[in-house]
Amino acid sequence: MTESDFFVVVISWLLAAVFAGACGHKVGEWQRFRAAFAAYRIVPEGLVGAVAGIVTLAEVLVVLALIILQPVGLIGAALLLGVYLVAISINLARGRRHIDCGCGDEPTPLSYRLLVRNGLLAGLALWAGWAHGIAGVSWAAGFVALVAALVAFGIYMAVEQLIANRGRHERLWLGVR
Amino acid sequence: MDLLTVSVVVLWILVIVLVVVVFALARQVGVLYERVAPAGALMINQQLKVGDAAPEIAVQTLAGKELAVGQPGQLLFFLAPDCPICKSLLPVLKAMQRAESQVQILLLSDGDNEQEHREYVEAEQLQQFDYALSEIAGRGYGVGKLPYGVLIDGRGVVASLGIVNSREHLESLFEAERLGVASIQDYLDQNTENSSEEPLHYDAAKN
Repeated sequence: MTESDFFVVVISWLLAAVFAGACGHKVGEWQRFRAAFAAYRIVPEGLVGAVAGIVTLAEVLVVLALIILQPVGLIGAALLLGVYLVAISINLARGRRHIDCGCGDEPTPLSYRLLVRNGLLAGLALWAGWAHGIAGVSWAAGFVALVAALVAFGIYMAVEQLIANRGRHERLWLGVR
Repeated sequence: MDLLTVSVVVLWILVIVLVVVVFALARQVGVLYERVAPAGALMINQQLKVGDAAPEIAVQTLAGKELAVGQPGQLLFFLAPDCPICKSLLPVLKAMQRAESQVQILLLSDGDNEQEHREYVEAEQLQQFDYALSEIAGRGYGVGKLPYGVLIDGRGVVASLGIVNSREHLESLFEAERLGVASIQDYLDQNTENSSEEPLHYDAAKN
């Protein structure tokens, strides 16, 4: 197992954790996610439910593929992140930054920060998909990779929280729609 | 175990602890934003002041009723279907309508897609309110940001107004009316001014 393989494993499991968290929110707060999805105004009204369902299902499959270190999981993750990035960009360009991004627990307005976040994650996924050549993972390397992935996920959650705080600040202090 | 192994293990543990601490701090900052948020509805309105006569604007509700906005005893609540904060305040409005029976609550919004608003009324069960689409009303009352509330007193004069983000903000509109001030911020400012004129040690010095 080479160094780059090690990083591929860390990235795969980090993305698995990120998408698992996102799926959890979507399924747990389905109605809210559906409303947030509709507010993006990208999919015709009648298809919102179906497409939101497909997206969630795709996320579940991506998580499973990432856990068992299949390259298709990394490609799928990059694709999903790319689609979200485009959807957010379109609405930012339309000036609809007040809508909920639908990323998590708290209604968070759209901002370029989300674009940077998604861009970085998609970049990692693409690189890992390109460098992927894992034959097998030893228990020791797997353990270290798991801990590294969890630490990286912790940092991701802290960044998410800071983005949500910003939304909260705007909402409660500045009165942004 | 050699020193390098030990130091790597120690560093890992420290990194894990630090990540947890950073996350906890970020959450705390979020909680602080909520706890220390401005107490009353924010007043940012160039057009209308408290004490001005409320502009009278004729609107038609979604149910087809002809109504005049700006009548005495109305609470105007400006909202939009895609505004999550507005949605979170709807239960408060429903409770308020039951509690403050002398106040007529009007929901106002704008936009061309009437169907969207009808579905919103249906989904949120807002049939008990008069809900009207009027861009003119929004402009007449100088509404820039949502959700926005305007309380009109019994004489048809604007009693209080502002952006409302929470139950406390909504209630502060009524509170400001009772206290006879423009907004809770105004009230706090007045009080600090008074206290600076009469320093705290004044009484103690007199006695």
